Amino acid sequence: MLNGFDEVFLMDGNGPYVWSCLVIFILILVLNIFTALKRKNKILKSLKKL
Amino acid sequence: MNKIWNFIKRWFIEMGSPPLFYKWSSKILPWLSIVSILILGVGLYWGMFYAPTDYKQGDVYRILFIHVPSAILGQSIFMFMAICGFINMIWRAKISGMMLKSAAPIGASFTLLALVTGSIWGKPTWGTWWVWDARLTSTLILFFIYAALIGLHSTIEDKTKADRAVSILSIVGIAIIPVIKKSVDWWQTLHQPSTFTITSSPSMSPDMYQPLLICVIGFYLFFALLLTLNLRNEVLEREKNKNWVRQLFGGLS
Repeated sequence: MLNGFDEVFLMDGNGPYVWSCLVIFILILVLNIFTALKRKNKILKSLKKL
Repeated sequence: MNKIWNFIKRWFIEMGSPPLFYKWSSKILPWLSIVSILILGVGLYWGMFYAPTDYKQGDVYRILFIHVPSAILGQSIFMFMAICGFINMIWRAKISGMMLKSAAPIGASFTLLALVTGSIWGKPTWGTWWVWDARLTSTLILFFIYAALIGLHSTIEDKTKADRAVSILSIVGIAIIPVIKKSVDWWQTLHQPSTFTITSSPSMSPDMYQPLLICVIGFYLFFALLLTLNLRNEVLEREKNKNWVRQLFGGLS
């Protein structure tokens, strides 16, 4: 198990590579959910107008 | 046996109906959200903090807990789309066309994620961000096919015609999947052989394999969640003039 901030963040020196992948992954997930919710709101608004 | 078969048949027929799908998905959505976030969280936490460091690659191998599931998912979503395309062409099931449109951006996202994370992994491991290796190039082609599917659907105004065009392209495009899968065997590549195979036991240590397996399950569940969200939107948009939608949202009594 990894302990301590330096060990967790830097790991063996390749930590930034690992964490940047995790950040990109989270960004993609959030973007997918955000677009779906935004589209839902848009559809619901148009349904109210009908 | 007959009862189970009848149940499966009835379930498929019911899921093919947009109002029934919308009703059913409302019930399952909160549970799917909780379970997918939980499993994905456990898998990633285990992989990032608890899994042992690889003796050869060091800690950079932890990228594989994101890269491998996203690559598997990118290909699986395309196979799923080809099946939807086949159903759409043969049975003209309305929901299969909607599924095609809803799954394409998710598949493109995960394929892009596999390419980007693979590239980031390649820098410290191979010493380069990108090589025109057979596995990498065929995955890039898969991403372009996804982009073409999304573009094609948006350029055709008639939704039925758009669904049919995308169905044909997804059925034809499926040829790229065995090429990606076998690229590491057919050509001499920098890319390592497949991590998951049905025919042989994993080459990884169980301490690394178990969290990876959990991540793969988590990714599949997250795909199910995103697909349900997108599909519900697609159903609402295409059926907005139908009575069941108007009744549901109070526009028509």
